[in-house]
Amino acid sequence: MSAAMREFAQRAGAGGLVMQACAACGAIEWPPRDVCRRCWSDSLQWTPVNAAGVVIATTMLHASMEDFFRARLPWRVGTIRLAAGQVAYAHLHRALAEGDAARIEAHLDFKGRGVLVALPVDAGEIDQRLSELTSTTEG
Amino acid sequence: MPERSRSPRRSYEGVALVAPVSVPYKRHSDKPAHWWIGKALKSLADRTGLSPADFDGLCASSFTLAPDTAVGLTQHFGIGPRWLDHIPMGGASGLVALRRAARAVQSGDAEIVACVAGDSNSQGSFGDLVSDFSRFAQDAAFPYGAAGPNMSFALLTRAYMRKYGATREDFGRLCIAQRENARQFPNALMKSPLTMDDYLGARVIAEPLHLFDCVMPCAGAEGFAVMREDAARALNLPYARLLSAIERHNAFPDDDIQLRGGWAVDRDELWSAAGVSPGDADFLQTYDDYPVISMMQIEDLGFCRKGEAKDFVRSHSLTAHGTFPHNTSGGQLSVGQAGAAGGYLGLVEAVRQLTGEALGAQVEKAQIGVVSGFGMINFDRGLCSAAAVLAAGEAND
Repeated sequence: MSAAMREFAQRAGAGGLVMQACAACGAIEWPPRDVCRRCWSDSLQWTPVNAAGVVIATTMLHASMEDFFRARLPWRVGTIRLAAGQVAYAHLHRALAEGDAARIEAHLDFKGRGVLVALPVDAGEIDQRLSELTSTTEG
Repeated sequence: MPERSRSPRRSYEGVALVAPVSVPYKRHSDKPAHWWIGKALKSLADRTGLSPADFDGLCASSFTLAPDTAVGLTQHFGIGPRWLDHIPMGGASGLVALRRAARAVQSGDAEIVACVAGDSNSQGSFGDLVSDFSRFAQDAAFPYGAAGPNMSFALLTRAYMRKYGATREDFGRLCIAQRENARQFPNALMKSPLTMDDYLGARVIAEPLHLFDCVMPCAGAEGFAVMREDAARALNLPYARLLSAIERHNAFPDDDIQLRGGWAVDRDELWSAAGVSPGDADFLQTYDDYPVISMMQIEDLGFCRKGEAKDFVRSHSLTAHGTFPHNTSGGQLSVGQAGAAGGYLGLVEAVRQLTGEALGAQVEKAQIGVVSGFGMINFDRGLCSAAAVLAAGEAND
């Protein structure tokens, strides 16, 4: 995990969505980085951003290299266009499909990695797999 | 979208590609990348009749050479080149190596450049390669299910199918034709016949990708040499000429998801510099890490309009003796993906076709060939794209 990603992970799980914003040009960065992708300024500040997004594409993974996911296949992930500007991968709630609006939350996963989770805008049923993703600890 | 360069490019006149070599692939190998690259160099020396000291330029690509780079290879192989390059561009490595080497021999910085790529594949090493692939991949792609590139390609394949109406059968046509080509290619790891039922009924990996949409990682090496045409003729070596070549990195960064690559930015320049058009090509070698990427290249290089590769593969036969010979060795989907050597496979095969030295099926009267490369899923899309138009050397006419 990069140092910038560790900073994201430290802020994950506190509710809402925090990302780097460029103090010089206002660009929102994802994945976390050291220099702004638009203007090359290094003044990047962790800022609460709009947690809305749209689901661009979805897949069900039927193979994985990690035991946690292997035990829970198939696993649903997707590509999200964030209202804040960037494209990101997210763990997807089972109710989400392409074109759906989503609410993005940052969480710590079972390995302590900071991850994005996409949920339906209207609080739907709990997706048990996503609960396990963020409540299980493998160290 | 990147600005297109307006500066006129100088031609690649006088550049020759010679001595296409392949070290037969193995599914797994305990021999390190150095051995595979060394075997390719030895084949290059044997094929050209040159000694190690005659190669005054070296260009290498590998994913499994760490902690070494091309620098360490000079000492390992006991050579003192006056020109050295290391190209870490995965599936674009062969074409980018060619572009660099061509300028080196044109300018006189080197006379004979050995271009080689090789990788090992020991049991279990592929997972390490995938999980450590890049900083952005480690941070923001791998944690989402630990599926490696299959996840990124599943998502963009799904988006491509939804947008353009391509079906699994369309991808299957491409894979089946390549398997037909591979059945005649001695180095292919997968030679058993592939039917549409086999293709459609295969195990699902990451929807909509199934087993035969994914390459098999393996060990292997590929190489060729670049020199001036007059040098190739003096050595009595059959050769291919370089008519034009392009590369582009991180094209279309604002696209939601990758449905096109950098070829779309540069293809007009590729064809105008070559002085030929897509209809003149006798064959096309695309980078086929997944069939959707080959379809994108067919479109973005101008063989058909955007979104119409599905119609293109339905209306053409894609085998070496078909109406549109494509990936005539079988491509990575049937030969195997030997790491960075996968970025050489199509180019090496193109030189063989144009010099009449095909190891498998020979395209009849092949005079013009197009090769395309694609590499490096740094985060959510492949960043490197490259392509070249090649022609048979005069001596082979």
